[in-house]
Amino acid sequence: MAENREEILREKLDPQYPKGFEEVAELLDFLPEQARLATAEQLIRLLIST
Amino acid sequence: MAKSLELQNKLDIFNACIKFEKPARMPNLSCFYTWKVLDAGYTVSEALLDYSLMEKIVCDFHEAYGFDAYSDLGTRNFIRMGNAMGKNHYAFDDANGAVNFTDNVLMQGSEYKEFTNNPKAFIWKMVHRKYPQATKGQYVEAVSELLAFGKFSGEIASKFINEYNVPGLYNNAAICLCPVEDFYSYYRGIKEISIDMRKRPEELKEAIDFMFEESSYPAFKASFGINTSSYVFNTFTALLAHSIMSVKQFEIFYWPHLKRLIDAAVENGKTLYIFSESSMMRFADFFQDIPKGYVVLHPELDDVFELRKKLPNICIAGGMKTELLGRGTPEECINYAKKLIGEMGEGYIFSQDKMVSFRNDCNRDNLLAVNEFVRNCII
Repeated sequence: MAENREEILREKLDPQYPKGFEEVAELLDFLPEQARLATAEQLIRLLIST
Repeated sequence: MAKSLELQNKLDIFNACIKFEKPARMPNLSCFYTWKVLDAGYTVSEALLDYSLMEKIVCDFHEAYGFDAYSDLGTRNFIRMGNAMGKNHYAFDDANGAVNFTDNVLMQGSEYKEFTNNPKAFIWKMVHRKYPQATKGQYVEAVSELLAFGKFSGEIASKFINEYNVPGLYNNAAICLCPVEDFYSYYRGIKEISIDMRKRPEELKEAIDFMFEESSYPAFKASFGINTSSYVFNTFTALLAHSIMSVKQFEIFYWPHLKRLIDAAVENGKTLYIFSESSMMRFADFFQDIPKGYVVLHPELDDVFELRKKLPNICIAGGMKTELLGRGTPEECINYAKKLIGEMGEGYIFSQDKMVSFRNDCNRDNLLAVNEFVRNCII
């Protein structure tokens, strides 16, 4: 399942990616819609803090 | 799932201490971090990169030493996502068993206004500054690592609660750090923010106030709705940036937000566990009016006997000296543990006086002796 997800994610990426939170949230389309933006924000904050 | 009697008993002894009541026995809180990895014979980077290995280390540590709750279940120092992106703030010195965190400047002092105007956009800009060469694939890997970390941290917490009957210390969703911490650790760095507090205090204050109102405070209040019935504390915050502040700076940049968190916890009947890195003794006066029964303060470097005198209203955790655990004899360690439990009185939770990280912070025989003593300690 993880491999499938990664394949799907790679297909969704456009050449200018990433531009912002919304694009990161799109990567998370396997999550419920209301969780995507919050998870994207968590990802971005963790990217800064790790 | 119904809580086991063993789990409930552990929660009860912690709760009694928080409420300044007499516990059935003294709870023993682990503040052990990377020491457990070294004790198991592995390097820190080996353990942090391999969640299966980390799980084994954490479980073996519990089975050997048997604490009542743990500050860390191997989930601090989340490095795999940064590695996927090609850059990490952490620097490992496996030869000496040390982890260092490098000081970073991702935001210029002239950019506070831009930050405050649109924090999300600015944080995104800082991501690009940190990872200017990151590829599309690396972002995908980062998402995968975020999910893998979430899976590991959820499973290990669940294992301790459901299999070992050990309560969690706090739910990760109930963590709230004051906004100045982000500027201190990640955006401006320790050196630059220490200059900002003197050279551009209004801009810094405006930015952290904005972040507090827009993000930190609403998230903290929302965390009151989380089910924390299997956790020792309802909420958590950590003090790090205070370590470079004067009392006046703390009053301006830290206390207004921390006080709001404390007040909200008290008003809603929630407990707040505050882990304070470095020393906080010079700020103790700020905490004197907090009602008993809600706040637990775990200081790193302060003398807990002195702190008890200044703050008879606050439950204090910690105090067991790592200099004794690392270099003393079992008898010396037990004697000091007796002194702590005997003199701190009600409103005290037994734990260590710092994050136990380095090889010489502790030795195995001393820890086994102290934990056996505390386990059987009826107050």
